[in-house]
Amino acid sequence: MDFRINSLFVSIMVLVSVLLPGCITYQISKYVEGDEVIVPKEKLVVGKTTLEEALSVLGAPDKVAKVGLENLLVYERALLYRNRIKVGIPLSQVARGSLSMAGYGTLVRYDSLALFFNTEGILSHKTFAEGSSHPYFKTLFSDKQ
Amino acid sequence: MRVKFYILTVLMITTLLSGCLVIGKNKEYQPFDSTELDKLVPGQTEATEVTEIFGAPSKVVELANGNAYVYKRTVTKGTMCWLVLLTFGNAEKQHDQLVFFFDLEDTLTHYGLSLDADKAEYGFPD
Repeated sequence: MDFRINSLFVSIMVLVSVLLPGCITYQISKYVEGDEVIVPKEKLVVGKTTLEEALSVLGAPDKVAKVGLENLLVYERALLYRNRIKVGIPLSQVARGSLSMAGYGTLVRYDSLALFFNTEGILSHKTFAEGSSHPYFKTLFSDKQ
Repeated sequence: MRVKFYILTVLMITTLLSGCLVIGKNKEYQPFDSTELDKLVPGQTEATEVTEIFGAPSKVVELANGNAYVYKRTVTKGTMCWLVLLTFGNAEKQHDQLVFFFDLEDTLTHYGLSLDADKAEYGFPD
């Protein structure tokens, strides 16, 4: 019985230490660009807040653009998450090719605050999208675009 | 028998935990000095004075009532860790940014400053 248990254990060891490296790998990756976007709602009042006030509260915007007769300031943070699994059988020692199969899912979410200012420098409208509040797997496998 | 079991267990754990760790840093450098902002006076300072102090901007954007000069530098810190079955990758990119707004006469009207490059950190995905 002892011999059989040991044989099983050794077999598992061989499988783990020889076959598994490179056979099954799971990769978790994260990439963040930009600082957290905090929206001080009480300090951003449409029709009242000036460009100067917005800049003093939020700092320099990540993007600036002209939109019609208005100026657009965007504060943004991008969050990328990727999960990847690869399963393969390395046959290169005995054959020319190897069998492998991989699947991955990448999700990039954006937290974006867009502020529109008229030519007088008054906030005309604002919008905030908090992409990071959407969960990874649910969002990735959702049919919604 | 027990000794063999321990040896095999230790071998298995060391095999599973054997791996590699890599850290790296990228920097897109622009030598602007935010302490020089004290020299600027909105409503008076001209665009040429700004470029004399801060150098050539990274980007110039045309606006509805003037132009914006953007100065940007970034720091990216990356961490990779390979274990037998698991690989972790993490990268964080943060930037320092300075944006000057000029009217149609190229006079400075406003500016905004964000200093976040120091916030980039090494780490693992959470």
